[in-house]
Amino acid sequence: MSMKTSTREDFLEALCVLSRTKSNITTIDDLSLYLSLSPVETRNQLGLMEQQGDLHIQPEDRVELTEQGSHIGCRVMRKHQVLECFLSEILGMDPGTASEEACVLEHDISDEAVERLDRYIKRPGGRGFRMQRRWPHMPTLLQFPEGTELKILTVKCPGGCQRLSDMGIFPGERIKIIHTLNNKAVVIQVKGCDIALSPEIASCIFVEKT
Amino acid sequence: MRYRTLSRDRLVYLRGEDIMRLGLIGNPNVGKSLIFHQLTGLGVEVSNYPGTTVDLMRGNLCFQNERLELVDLPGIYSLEGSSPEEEMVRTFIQEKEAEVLIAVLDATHLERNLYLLLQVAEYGKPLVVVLNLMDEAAKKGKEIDIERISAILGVEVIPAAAIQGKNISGIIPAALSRAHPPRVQVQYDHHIEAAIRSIQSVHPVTRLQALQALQGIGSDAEAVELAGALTPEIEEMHRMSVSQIIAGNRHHCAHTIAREVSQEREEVKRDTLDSVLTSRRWGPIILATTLLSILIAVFLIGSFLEEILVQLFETVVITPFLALPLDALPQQMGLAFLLALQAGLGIAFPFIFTFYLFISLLEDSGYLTRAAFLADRAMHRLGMHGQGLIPLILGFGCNVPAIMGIRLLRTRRERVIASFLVSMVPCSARTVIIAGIVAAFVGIAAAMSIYFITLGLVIVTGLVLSRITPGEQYGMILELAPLRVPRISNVFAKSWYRIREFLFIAMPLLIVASLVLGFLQYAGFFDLFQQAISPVSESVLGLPGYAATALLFGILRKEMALETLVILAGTADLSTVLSGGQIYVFAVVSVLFIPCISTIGVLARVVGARITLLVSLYTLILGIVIGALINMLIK
Repeated sequence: MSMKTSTREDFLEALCVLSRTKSNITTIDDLSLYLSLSPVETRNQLGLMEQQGDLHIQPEDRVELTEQGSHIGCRVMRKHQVLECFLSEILGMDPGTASEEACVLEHDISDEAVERLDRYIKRPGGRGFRMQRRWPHMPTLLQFPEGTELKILTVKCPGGCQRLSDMGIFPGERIKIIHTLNNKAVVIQVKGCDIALSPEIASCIFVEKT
Repeated sequence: MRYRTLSRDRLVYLRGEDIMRLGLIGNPNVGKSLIFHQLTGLGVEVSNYPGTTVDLMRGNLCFQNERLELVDLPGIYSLEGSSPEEEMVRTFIQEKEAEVLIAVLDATHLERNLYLLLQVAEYGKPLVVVLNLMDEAAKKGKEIDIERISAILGVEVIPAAAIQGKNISGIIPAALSRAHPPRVQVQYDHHIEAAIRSIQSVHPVTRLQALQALQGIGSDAEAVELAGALTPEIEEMHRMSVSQIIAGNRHHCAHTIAREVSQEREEVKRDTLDSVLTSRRWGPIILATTLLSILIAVFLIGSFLEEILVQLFETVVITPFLALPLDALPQQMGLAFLLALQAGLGIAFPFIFTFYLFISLLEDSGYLTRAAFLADRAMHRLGMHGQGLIPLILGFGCNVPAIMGIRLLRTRRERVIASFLVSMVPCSARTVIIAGIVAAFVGIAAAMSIYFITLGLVIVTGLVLSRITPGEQYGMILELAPLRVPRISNVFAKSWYRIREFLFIAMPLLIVASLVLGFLQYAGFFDLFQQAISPVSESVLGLPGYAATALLFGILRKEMALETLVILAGTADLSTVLSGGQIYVFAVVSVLFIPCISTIGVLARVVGARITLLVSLYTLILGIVIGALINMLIK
């Protein structure tokens, strides 16, 4: 009995992610929780993968990746990150949808395409200051007139964005532009409160129309 | 202070326990101060929290024959930020300085307020929640299920309306008998939760400490280092900073709770008045008119009150004192002391207090934040942002509290620029000089021109400083306080609180300076200085030697330059001894050069000795150069 490549890659990717974010060694229970599968199903798949030499199942249900398994897993994880970043930050997709989309694309995209995509994200051509160059197609708060309802995509504040996050200005939040002044200072409505922002702060908040 | 420590020690001794302390915590503009004043009444003590420049209000109250202390913590948005207020409140809670916390939430902005509450909950301190502004929420058609929110949070929730005093009396009994740690806990993103667990598995810290370490704060260096190794990976995966992820989770939790306990958020109706006040077209005009009319009103009311007070002081205190049979030295010193009191209470007080009444009125009505927004563009040119307008306006009253207000600005660059500009703003004392000699002997137009020259120089200085001051500029992030009809009692309380800084910081320095001056005059120093300075002052400024002496003593107290001039000239009718041009030059130089000694003292505390020295030198040179220029032009 063989298994689908995409399932195998998903398992290896999940194991890689878990091994990096958890201090203790991943168990079958952790993995089934992460993948939302039943422990029995997970165990069956892992059995097949052990035969292929991707991993070893140790006592107490601990899963250990072999060199081959870890190599594949890390590669898929990286593809996922690059794709998700491209979809959400360059193309402006919703981060959640971008992640789901990346889950599908990651299995078929070639290594070369991912590398080129990554280089493009990191250093795309274009003018303007650093912030805008990295997200060339994303509009900021400054580009919309009074009364527009917007959704925040990214906040890249050079001085740290703690205060903005605390006031509710963080990716995913819906806001509305209340006032703009000639110099582009804006008042936005966030969580029912009116907040005034200087132009340089507003230019770091990337948004899309809802 | 001493009294407090003594009596507290005695209480501890008598009852074998410390005094119970309660802390009021909440966002800005939720009516926290109003509740504080209603609970404590008079006898509020303002003190600096040790090691910080943040003011704390403490008040005592009695409940069932037990003395309690209530602390009003500054309004904050978060416990994990880096502003001095946020850091101070964080330490305050962590150091277990209060046994029970009373969290004040704004019912009209429940969701945003819950964000802070969720953070407070993580400290696990006994808590009661006061849901204030229920009246406004009801007006907006918002209903909140008190039982439900109380069940979710796991603490008692008291619906209140502080403006009407509703349910305020229930707060203290609830805090004393029914406060307990909240049950609510934010579920963080699984990467964050995993990171918390992995920090805890290596190093024994609490969940809270691990969470703080992930955001790079907290006292536990090892945990911060461990977290530092984990964060890049999480940030890479989420393409967001850890703080943003955590904030997002908390906002989500707050949103879920808010939606569960109150009806669906409806479109907030915009105030038409608000739209006009901040509109592109009318906003700046209204702002300019408001500020100008306040300055004129303060000028008129201030001079009216001043005349009455000075007259009263003269007949009741000074004349009887001079009639006393005293030796020369005691009389000189006594007179110097009384003149300082007269200057402080009779001259400065009427101007400053009237000014603060207007400013507090603007602040409580919510207009001051709108003014900051409107001024953002202009302030950018001067190297600051909208919030910098507030200390500049305050400077028209007295530079001392205005310099204290500079602490609100977030970067050192802005504080440095502001310290120069605020020190140059013509304060009440300088207004006294302008009104007292220029308006009286030269003309009202000439008096106004001094204002314009000074403001022009403030602008030029700002333009230059914004180019040469090192450091990054950080923009304005400012919540516009809701427009409300101000409560007169609150306006008075606030003005009183503001003027305390003048009374307790500027006044003592003023009296000491005055005494020193009295002694110097007695010792004959005046004549010596006058002889030495005469040639310089006559050639450069075209002023007689005694005028230069008067200018020098203006450093101690600005309006004293005027008094000294009158004394040294030997007549109150200055037009008989000085020409109009000379009076004008005298006024310009004394308004511009060197901030008074109290301002210098506060500057040193807020921006350090080096900048203070620079400010003093700059204004000294500026005053002399401009004075010399005008002198040349007049000739």
